[in-house]
Amino acid sequence: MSHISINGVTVAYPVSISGVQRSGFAAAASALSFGRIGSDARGTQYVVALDNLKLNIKQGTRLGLIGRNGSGKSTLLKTIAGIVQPRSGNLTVDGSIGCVLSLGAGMDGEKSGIDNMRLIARLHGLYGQALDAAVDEAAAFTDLGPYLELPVRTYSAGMMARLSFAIATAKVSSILVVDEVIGAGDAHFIAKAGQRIMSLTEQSNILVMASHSYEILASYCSELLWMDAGRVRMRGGVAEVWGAYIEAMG
Amino acid sequence: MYKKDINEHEFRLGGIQTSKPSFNFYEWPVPNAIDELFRSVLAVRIWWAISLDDLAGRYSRTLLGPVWLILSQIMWIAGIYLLHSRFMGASTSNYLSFLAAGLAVWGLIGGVTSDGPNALLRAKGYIESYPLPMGIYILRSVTGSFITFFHLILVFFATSILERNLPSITMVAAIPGLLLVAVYGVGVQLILAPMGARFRDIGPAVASVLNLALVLTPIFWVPDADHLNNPLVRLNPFYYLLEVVRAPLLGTWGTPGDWLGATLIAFVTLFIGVLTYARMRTTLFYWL
Repeated sequence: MSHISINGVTVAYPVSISGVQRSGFAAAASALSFGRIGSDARGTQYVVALDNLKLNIKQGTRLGLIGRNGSGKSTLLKTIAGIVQPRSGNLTVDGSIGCVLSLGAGMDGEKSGIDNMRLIARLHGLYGQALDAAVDEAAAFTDLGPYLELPVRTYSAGMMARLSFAIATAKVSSILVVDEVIGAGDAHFIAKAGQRIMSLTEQSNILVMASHSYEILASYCSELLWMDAGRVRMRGGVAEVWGAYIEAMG
Repeated sequence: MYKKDINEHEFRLGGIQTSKPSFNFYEWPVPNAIDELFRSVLAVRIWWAISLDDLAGRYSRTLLGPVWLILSQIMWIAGIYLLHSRFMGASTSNYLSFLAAGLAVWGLIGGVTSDGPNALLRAKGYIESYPLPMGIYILRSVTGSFITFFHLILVFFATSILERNLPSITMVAAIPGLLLVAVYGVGVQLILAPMGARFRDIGPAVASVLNLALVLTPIFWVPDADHLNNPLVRLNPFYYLLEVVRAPLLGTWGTPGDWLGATLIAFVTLFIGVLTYARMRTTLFYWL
């Protein structure tokens, strides 16, 4: 039984303005002198990425995130995945997490595709026989064939996307969080990935996925969430929300 | 499954806004930090795998691989031996073993301290993409220093054989000594890694302090009874951590004062480390 409950969550990124912010000694001087030295070390400015967000995602939901660049989609995905800590609010995430948030994250360009998959499978918590089985299965899923033996720095964005997605979904997790990277794959891969996602989410799992492509959203998602400046603007069926979004874009 | 229930800071709404941070007890969620550190230790398969991977990566596309590390240490010791025997005329009996042991252990202590500020920055790619407890990257960094130590200690065994020092039973006492250094290592990295991510001058500052400590700590010079009572040695925390590993290797058990001092330093460092980590872990991501 997985579910995600987000209640009044605010996520804000600090923006460091002056060199003073980056200097430990300046901060110490400011603290020791009660703010008289280097007083601009206090009063950090923030960019609010998620603004008092309220959201409830039940099991079996396949939620697509749409919105303009900078509306908070990636931040929401990272918050759900547990990578970013909210500044305030209540966040409950019930279930194991699998995520594909960036291309080639944690991959060593000099090592081969298969070696990278082995290491990333470990980061996902696999070991021993389960690890070998998962890596073999993921290797077959990528359809990269002999390219798997080549160093990852020779791969294109699409190949990286296939690699990342394959290994991220090798271990069945109850919540799958996918950022826009999947758009880099070719049509054949997107179809395959879609089938994989469908089978994963059939077993009362949750999918949260950000995308700019209507095709991907229509085939994978059961509902859409339109985000605007860190808030939920609209939530509903795919066609309905997409229509409203396109209209607002003008 | 995890829950986060964090108290609100003061915020004015808007796109970009300013806020004055204020001290709040809830900003020190120590139980959460301890839970995360505990889960990091349990994830041994992960940090051990990354450490081995680091080791392989250091020597990929090289001819001699890890032998280079040992070779460079041998060069250093050979040079110092030449200086001493030719120019300073001091007797060199057992000095080579003393030096080799000291350099290997200093390589560990100094290495684990100087790697501190960089530990989480190195792992930026992992931290941004995988929701793993961050203690894993600190344990990986400490493990890396220990792997280097086990390379360098081979030079000590070589010099021991050269100077015909028989291995003695006291060497087993080096193991609890190494454990104390491990506790210190984790503690100092828990302090320095979040600070090094937030403030970028911690790295150079630590390197400067270690340069000073390298000269002041008796590694290149053998301390006699007078030296040992001098505050310069007595108040040097690195001295105690060094002695609890080096003394057993050189055939003595180490004084009770040394063991007490090392235990105290290691656990106090760990305690401060946990508090620092607890204070900084929630906003760490933004500063990487």
